[in-house]
Amino acid sequence: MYSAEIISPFVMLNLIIIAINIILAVSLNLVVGFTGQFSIGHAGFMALGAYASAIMSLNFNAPFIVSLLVGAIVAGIGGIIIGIPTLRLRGDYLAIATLGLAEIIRGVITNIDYLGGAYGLMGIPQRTNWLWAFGCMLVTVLVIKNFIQSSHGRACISVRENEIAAEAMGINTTKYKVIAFTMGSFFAGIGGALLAHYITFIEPNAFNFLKSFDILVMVVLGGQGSLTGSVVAAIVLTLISTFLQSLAELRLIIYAIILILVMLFRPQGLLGTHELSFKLLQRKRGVSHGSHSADA
Amino acid sequence: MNEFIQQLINGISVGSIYALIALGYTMVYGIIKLINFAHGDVYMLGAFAGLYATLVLKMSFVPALIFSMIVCAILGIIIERLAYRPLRNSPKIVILITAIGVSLFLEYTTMFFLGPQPRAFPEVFKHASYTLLGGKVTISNQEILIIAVTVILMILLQYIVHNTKIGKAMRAVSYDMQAARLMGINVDTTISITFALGSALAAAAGVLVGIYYNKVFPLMGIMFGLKAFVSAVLGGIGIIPGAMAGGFILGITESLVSGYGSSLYRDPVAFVILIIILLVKPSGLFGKNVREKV
Amino acid sequence: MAAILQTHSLGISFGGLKAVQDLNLTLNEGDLVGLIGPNGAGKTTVFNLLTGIYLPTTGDIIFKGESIVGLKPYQIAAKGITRTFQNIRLFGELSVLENVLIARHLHVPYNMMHAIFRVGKFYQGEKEMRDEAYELLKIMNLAHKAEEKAKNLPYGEQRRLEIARALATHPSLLLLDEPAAGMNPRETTELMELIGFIRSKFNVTILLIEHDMHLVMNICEQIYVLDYGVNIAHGTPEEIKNNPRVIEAYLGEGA
Repeated sequence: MYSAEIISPFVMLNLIIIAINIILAVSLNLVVGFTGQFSIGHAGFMALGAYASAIMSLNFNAPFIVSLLVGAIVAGIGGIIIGIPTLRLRGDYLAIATLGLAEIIRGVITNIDYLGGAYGLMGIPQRTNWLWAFGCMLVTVLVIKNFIQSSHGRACISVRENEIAAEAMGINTTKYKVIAFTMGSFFAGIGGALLAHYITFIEPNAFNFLKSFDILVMVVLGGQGSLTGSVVAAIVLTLISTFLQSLAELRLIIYAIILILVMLFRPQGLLGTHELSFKLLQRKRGVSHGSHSADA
Repeated sequence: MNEFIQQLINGISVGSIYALIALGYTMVYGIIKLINFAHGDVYMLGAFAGLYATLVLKMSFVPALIFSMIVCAILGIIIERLAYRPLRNSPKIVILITAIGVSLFLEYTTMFFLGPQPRAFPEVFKHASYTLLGGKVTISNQEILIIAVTVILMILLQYIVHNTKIGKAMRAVSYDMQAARLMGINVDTTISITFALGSALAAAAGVLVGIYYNKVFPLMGIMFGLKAFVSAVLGGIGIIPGAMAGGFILGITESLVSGYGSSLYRDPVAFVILIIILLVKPSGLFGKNVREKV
Repeated sequence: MAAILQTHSLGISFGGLKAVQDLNLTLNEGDLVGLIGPNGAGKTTVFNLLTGIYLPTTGDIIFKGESIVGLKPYQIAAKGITRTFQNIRLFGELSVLENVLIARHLHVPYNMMHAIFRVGKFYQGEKEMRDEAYELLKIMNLAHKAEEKAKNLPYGEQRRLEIARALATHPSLLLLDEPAAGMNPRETTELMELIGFIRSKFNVTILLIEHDMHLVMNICEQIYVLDYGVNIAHGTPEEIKNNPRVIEAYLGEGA
């Protein structure tokens, strides 16, 4: 492929990781930022997607698109199964439940030999390239954006804003929480599958709480409720992470300090609830939405 | 039967540790409704402080314990002052993330300066084992120490909470912060003291664990912190006797499962209990369901 | 005239406390009825019972001929009962228009797939919904603030927006919880006119909770009085004004 010759492997790695992180951040933002549900176990769904797709490729020689979709669907189903009982919980309790369940997923994977146990799975065919990563990223952002900027997306936002009022206006809040959660996990699964087929090796520790935390930081830093924010934050944080790679502990210390400072001084993140690009695009296109532009 | 009692003894000693740490979680949650993710790391720093006291300052057990408790009490106050107080009126998720940030900061700063390798405690007193029930059941003097220290500290805490003015203030603020303020209670000071007490207890747990398991390392707060948190939720988060009960129940359950089942199942016990509690009765064993006012 | 809402011995206890006891309410289509009583009498509890937020411990609620006890709030909203809240519950970060649009979701003319794939049906449906919502805002005199964030509106307009939002669900029965709270006399008079207007324009039955006696006595055709969860009187404003039990309930409270 031409890309392999023109772009250095290092740059390519970064571009693909950035694309994957955008998928992860945007999908988590749907759950946390737009629907207001504290999910801090997103890596668990990544794991489901990564492992399911890896098994499809390794043991069933499935074509990449099939592995990808299987990974996403398994993650999505995980989202439904986990979502339905836990989304009754509020705030802190939901956070702890999602954390606990992500750890349980990890624990279960670690104990199943078919999935490689603690040693993980190796030799996954490297199918992810720039085209796949970028394509999936585009699809993810588009699907989520189209969902958000519709009546159903507004229903999710109303759950975040005031759940009791939303119910009173006829919104089945449980249904929309589960829908957002499932969509979020579906795309996290895609992210996991893409990662598995690029790094070619996955193990349970790659999907621990620190990974969930990384994604959460992107969402919060970018601005919950801003898709543009998540994209920007994913890019920025991936780059920072790359530069700090050699200083593993230092990176985390710096992350933690940045996080605390942002929470103290600008908790709405970089973009708050604004969508810069979309508004600009709409004005340029002169879309009929005109004065009724959706400022999600 | 002897096996059972043996497991029970082990369970009670481990449970004491969980209870001590859980008290900190529950008191802080009770007063400002915050899950202090960094609490497990205060426990870790307590262990390190105890290590420093015995290794470098050559203190004996009790002075080292007190030293560690004081250091962590101060640390708890500082954390609250710098990271949590400014965010008291912020949305929940902001505080949650900040707490996680503080936790990571403590863990990795410690790791950066002291390295990830476990360190051992010097022998603070001679290890001895005693046998009960005609030699079938053993209990070490460390386990006795853990249980004894825990019981003493819990009695102290109960006294403070129920028989002193500051304890009354703590209870008042956890019921209704606004009303407490209007009654002239200095809410900020009360909260600081709550953090101090909780952190001191965690520090004590850290020193005891350091001596018992003879391993002190920067990430030791993660597992114990999580299990202590589960204990607090099990008993009813925000309820002090609940944390004590939760700690013992978790410790004993873990021991029995590990003893009669397999040691592999030890850690998952906490997670399973957590999920069950959250799905069946999130307010915990002693908790009441609080409705949102419409 | 058909009875649109009836409660039979409706009651709820929280632990030992009987918050509402043995309530028999009858509302006919098109009625404008008031629910009054001293603070803590259980009025909002009644609303919460009617809208499914609380499950009654005793009694039944019959709406348009069928029992709605046990239905979830969103299901009851779909059946045609909607409400405003004592402490305003708007979707603060969303615009005025979006607040109303959300209430239109009950009747959304497209599904998720249409939205995700952006087919014609979506664009058509969105336009319809937005046009309707905008019309409603015009009627409620809020159209000029359509793009404002709801939390930035002045208090009186926030209350009006809550009513507009509730109307957007196309209810048959509208429950207003202290709509005049915090309003000065001029705003209250405007509100009185508004309530009368929406009753006829939108063909709704209205049950309202209020402490402002001027408003209640002037626009309500019938009044129910609650005291400690019990309905102590029921009648026209004239009858209620002179009812000794009512007077005692209010004055006895030191109000």
